[in-house]
Amino acid sequence: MATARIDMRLEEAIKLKAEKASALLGYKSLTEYVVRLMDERSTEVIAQHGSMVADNDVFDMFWNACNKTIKPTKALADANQFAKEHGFK
Amino acid sequence: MIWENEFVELDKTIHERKSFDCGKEELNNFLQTRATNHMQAGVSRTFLLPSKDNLPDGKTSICAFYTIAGATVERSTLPRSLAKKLPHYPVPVLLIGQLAVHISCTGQGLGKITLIEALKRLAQINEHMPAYAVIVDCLDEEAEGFYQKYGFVELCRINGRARMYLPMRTVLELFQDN
Repeated sequence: MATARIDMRLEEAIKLKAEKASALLGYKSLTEYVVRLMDERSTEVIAQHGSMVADNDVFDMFWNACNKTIKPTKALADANQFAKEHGFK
Repeated sequence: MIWENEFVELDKTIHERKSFDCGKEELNNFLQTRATNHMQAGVSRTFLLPSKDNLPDGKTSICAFYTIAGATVERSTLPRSLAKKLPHYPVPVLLIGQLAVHISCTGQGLGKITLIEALKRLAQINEHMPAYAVIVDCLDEEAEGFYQKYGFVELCRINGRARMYLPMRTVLELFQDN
């Protein structure tokens, strides 16, 4: 597996706290602890970012709407026409 | 500002981000400090409408912009009785994360043009990566009213802000005769 380096500066107090937490969790080094934290937190953030959960009844309405052909509103059709008239193809 | 008639992808070497002002700090800040990072990290892509005039440093001002990304929507729980009718997996959607017009270009219909151009691009993406709907995140009530006018319906609220959707079928029908 390819590896990469990160050089980072941080407050002394944060480093000491992290070393304590790393020791309590039984990691062999601060690097191992930081890498594990980064990996887990990054996975969480990425998953949350693009994922939306809707209440059951709202999701069902959403799903039904997505499977029907609902005509664009007049305002939307007019906006499309307006864009065309202004040279947007 | 006089605008071009084509939206292009943000390029910080060409487009002047610092002077962009849509009157909403959060959107200005996104364009100025986060949009490029998000593009580099593969989180979202930002497209903008450049001004026709060049600035003294050779860069062009930004008249309007929008940001798009992929996302999914899922049901909070899936009852057994409906399990056959409803999807068991998160449903793919396309997201318009941000959309804004420079204050010096407002009152000329550029907001609706930007929305149409964003929807057009999402309809093209849908050809390769099918999605069920276009989702928008509304910064405030003004944005909510704007999207509602064009047929978007509320999906949910996150921290008081509306998240709305327009079915992709509606978008495709809109551009059928274009």
